[in-house]
Amino acid sequence: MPPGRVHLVVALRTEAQPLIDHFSMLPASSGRGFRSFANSDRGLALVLSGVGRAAAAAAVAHLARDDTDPAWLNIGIAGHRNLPIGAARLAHKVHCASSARSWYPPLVFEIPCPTATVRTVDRATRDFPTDDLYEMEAAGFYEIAARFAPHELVHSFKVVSDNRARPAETLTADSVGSLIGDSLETINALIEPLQRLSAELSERRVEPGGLERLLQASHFTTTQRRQLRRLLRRWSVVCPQVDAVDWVAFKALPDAGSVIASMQEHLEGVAPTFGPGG
Amino acid sequence: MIETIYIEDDVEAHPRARRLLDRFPAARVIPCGRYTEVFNPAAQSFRLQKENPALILARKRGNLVLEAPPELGIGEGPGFYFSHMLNCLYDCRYCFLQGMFRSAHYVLFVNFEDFEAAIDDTLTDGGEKPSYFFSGYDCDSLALESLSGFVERFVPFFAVRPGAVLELRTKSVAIRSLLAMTPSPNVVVAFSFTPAEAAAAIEHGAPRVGQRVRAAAELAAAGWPVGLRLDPLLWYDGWRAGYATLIDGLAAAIPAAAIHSASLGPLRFPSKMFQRIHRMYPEDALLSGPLARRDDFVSYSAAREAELVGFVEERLRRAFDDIAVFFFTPRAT
Repeated sequence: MPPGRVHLVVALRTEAQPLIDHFSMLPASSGRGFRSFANSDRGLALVLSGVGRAAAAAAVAHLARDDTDPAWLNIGIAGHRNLPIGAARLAHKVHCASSARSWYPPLVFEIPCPTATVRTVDRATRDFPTDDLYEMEAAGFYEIAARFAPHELVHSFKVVSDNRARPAETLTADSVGSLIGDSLETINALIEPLQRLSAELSERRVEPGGLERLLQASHFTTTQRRQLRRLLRRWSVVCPQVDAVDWVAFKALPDAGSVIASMQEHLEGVAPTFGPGG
Repeated sequence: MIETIYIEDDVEAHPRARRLLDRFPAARVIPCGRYTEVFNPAAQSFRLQKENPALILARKRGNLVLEAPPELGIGEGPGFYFSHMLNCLYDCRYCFLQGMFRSAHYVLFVNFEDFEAAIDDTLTDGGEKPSYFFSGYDCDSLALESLSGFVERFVPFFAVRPGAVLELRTKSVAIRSLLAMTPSPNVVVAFSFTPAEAAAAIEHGAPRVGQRVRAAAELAAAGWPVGLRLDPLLWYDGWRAGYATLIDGLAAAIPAAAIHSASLGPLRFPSKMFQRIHRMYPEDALLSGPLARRDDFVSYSAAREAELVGFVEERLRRAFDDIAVFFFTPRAT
């Protein structure tokens, strides 16, 4: 199975530093406009979005240029009326206060921490009128990330940094870093299933075996290439014991049209086999 | 096990919703405005959600009872369907729900009373022939009975409406609530069957065929009319022997007098739906099999379809005297 990838979107360097250190990420050279870091062996990339919805959305788009199947995780701090400082929550609902839109990240894997509604606001708040986590990026992040990946692969994770008793003004760069650093175990436990889901998706998109060799052997039009890809996928399920390239070679088929017609005809005659029933 | 429950603000106080929330005290409960906010967004993965579906408690608003396509019929009267749930506990690879809905979450419409009123409205418009109501179109009628209490509520409702026939369509063996009731001649418990080896390979999570046969036999012995739904008919290596064994097993277990009807349906997917499902499960043997586009459908060839229908019909008629056999021929939507 291809390795799964997770893209982390973090607003500030102080929040990101514990992640960069823990996952041994190095500055990534590609692109301008956003600073990003990566550890390719671990399948992880991180972008510093800056503060706010628009910045988070743009950072997702920046990081999405290269990959098709990564999972996305927004990590950051948030305020809550009375949750203790350091409490970690995964968003089960992301609500944008200014647009009144909501998103519901499907929770399809084991969740290592409690969940909560994350409410994205355009200005920092001190009074927390609802029982939600308040922050400034999740809605922008989610709206755009869900254009690049299924909703199941898009999540937002927040650590409570301030509440009514300890307002945000008391935060320092060190304390923000510590809050994220103290949640690394939970973050790891989120990244793991997200990588698995990303890998599952990537596997479904892997080109079928033999495609390149057959494409090199004859001239296929664009439509024929699509047909061949579909036929080879079916072939690998229906006739796994026969190498399609060998079969085509043995038949000495002269051109792309006859390759497609012959493979189609062959597959048409093969009945699926099911094992003994219960 | 339900870990997540989404609940429309509108049904938070509904007694059926309250009971369900009480039943799953450890579930995370997430309020939403309308169930469609959770269920309908594009770019959800039905396949991934199927690994751990959530329950959505909602109110059905409008279109509570719809006319059924005429080819679904199991009698001479008009047909209707209603869906107290969307989605199914099981994961059958030929099921159209996986291509129709974007989400695999279970939606339970808790306002049963509105369905009942809509059914009564439909009945007052009815003529001399009984009206047929199908409840298993968008879900399995019995599979989530312990959650929904659908049978417990609707069987007594139909029992006192002799002008209506209710079909419960199922693969479930959760028949305890039915066995505890007095059988109603106008409630047909219709079991879906494919041969055991096919069912084991492609009806993921569904009870084994032998268990279904036993459940149907128990209900028949208790006096319930039983329907046999051989739908879809599958072409695979050994299908003749498979169907022969299945039908012989049914005939040995269920007396012909208890059979309300049988229906046969070919395997057909609307083309776009097939593309969606096959993209989701490219490794599936059934979907990778010899299916081809015919008009607006993806199906077996006409010759294969006719061979399947002919063989199975003949075996059914031989096994059950005077059995009423209906043919379901789906149309493209």
